[in-house]
Amino acid sequence: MDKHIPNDTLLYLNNVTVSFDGFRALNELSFMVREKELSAIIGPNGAGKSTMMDVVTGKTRPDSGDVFFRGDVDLTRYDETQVANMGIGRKFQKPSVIESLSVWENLELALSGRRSPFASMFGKLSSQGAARIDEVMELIRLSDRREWAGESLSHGQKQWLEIGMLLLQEPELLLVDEPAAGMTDEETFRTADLLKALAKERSVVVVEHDMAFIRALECPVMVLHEGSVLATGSLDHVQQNQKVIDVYLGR
Amino acid sequence: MENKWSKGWLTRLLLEDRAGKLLMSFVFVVTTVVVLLNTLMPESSALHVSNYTVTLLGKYLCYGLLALALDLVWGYCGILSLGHGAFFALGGYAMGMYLMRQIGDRGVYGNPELPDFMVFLNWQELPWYWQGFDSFGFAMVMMALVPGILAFLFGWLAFRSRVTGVYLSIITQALTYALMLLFFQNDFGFGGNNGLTDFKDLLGFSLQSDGTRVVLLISSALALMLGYVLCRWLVSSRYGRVLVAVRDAESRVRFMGYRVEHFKLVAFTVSAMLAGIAGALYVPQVGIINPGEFSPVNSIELVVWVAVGGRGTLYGAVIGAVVVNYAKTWFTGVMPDAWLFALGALFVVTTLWLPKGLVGLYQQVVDFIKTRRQLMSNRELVDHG
Repeated sequence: MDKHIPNDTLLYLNNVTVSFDGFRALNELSFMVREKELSAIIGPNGAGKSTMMDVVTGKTRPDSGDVFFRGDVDLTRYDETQVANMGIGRKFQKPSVIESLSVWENLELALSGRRSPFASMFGKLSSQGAARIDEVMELIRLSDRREWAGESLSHGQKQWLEIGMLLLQEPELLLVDEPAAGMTDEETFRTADLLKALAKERSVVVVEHDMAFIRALECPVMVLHEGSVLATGSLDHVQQNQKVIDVYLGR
Repeated sequence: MENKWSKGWLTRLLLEDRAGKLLMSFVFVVTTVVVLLNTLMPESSALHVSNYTVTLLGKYLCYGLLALALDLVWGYCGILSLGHGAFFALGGYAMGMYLMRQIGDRGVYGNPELPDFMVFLNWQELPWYWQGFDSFGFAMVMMALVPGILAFLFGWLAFRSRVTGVYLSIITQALTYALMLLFFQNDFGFGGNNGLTDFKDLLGFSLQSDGTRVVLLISSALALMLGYVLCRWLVSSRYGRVLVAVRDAESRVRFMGYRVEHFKLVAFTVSAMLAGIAGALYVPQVGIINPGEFSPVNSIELVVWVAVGGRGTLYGAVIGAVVVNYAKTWFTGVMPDAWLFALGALFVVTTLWLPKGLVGLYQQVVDFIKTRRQLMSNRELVDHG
């Protein structure tokens, strides 16, 4: 790899291109994420945000380019399950908790540990594991809902439960797709605080449309447009960028 | 904090699965009563239960085990197999082969080495795949192993390629259809369209004797109960919760780091083995196994049993199997031509009004009465106010 990559780089994308039927979803996209860094990605619909996440999490193979994790792990060679077990968690745009399982069961499912069918048949939940679940349940403020089914939670609660599940996976890198969508103002700000707290121990990349939410995150922003980076910097900085105003903010 | 999952699975099973416990107790009691009334009461007594009823009940219990097997994959993992009858039939054929070997030289041709149909085809020696079936132990292993291996290979290919939903249903249907055509071939070595029949005895006991029928009934009841406990244990472990998660949000489970195809494969294989055991117990009670058992219609009927009973509950599947088959027995006695229409109507009614099947009906009625009461009291309030 190139010499100018800092040592604390966790995720490194270089010239990544993905096309679907001739449409370039990602066009020589390059960027990096550092350890324990919170960063945000904004951009109009179709800018390639979801495709970028698909590439990093092993769902989509890039046509060309490099994706490295922790320096030398080539993520393009692994599938979703393997990438998840390496320590990359992904939160989907639509809250996707398991509807028919309770809050506690959802969290227990996500708790890091052995993932094979036989381990899950015979394995027992350790007391540390149970304590960790309780701790996270407290953090996402669902302790009084532990026996509630996923489907009976409000939209905001589902988003939080999903974030809690991701925490229990103990990822080093957390990719979060539009966490504030459909949330009330109060929930939005609480979510921003939570993500900021999480970024103290791991890298968090947030994809979002909501400018108030991005502002509350107080983090570097990257603007994506037509599959490549249009601008980077603080939110104030990119908001004054004429190109950004033309393609995204001005509309 | 104390949590229900921190208890052992057996405690959980006994504490929580009330309906399942009830059903299994019911199976136990009914089987015991039928066996006692059949063996102890003289035939002249009004309380005597006929051999016909003993065998009929045994058949129903085998269907119950088969439905249970399907519910494990369909109800809990969302794999709608439209070919589960194939595993049932394969188990049945394994038992049939043993029973054929038991005939010995008492066949029509009196050949001590070869079953009648092979003599008829002018075969000179027993094909390699018939070797070993003289031994009951070997045959017993094969009853579960052959369906298990087929399910494993099929599932390994299908789940690894991420074939899901209706596509998977279609290829399972194709699987059972292909097997049916194969077993119809005389050259395939399983008796062609006549299948295997004219069985004489099992472990030296005549299949026609009352005692053997009773033992087969008891074995079927035991197999159903053990199968139930196994399935309940599976679905109440973390493994079962992963299955449910796969059913509800498959891709989410992948991103959680679970190897979804392995979980499906285990469930599918276990289910196929249970179906095989059900088939193996079924064949000596009905006295025949032929390629008709592979017919796609059988597998579809099986899906109807589970849907009618209530999928994703295990006990619902067993209830569905018994209720629908009882109805079938009744219909074929009274108006045989109407059965298929009745079956179709049953499926439509279930799909439209009973999404959770018969076992969900109770809750539906309770909810209905509650809303009605609420409505009435609201109206009173309006009238008075």
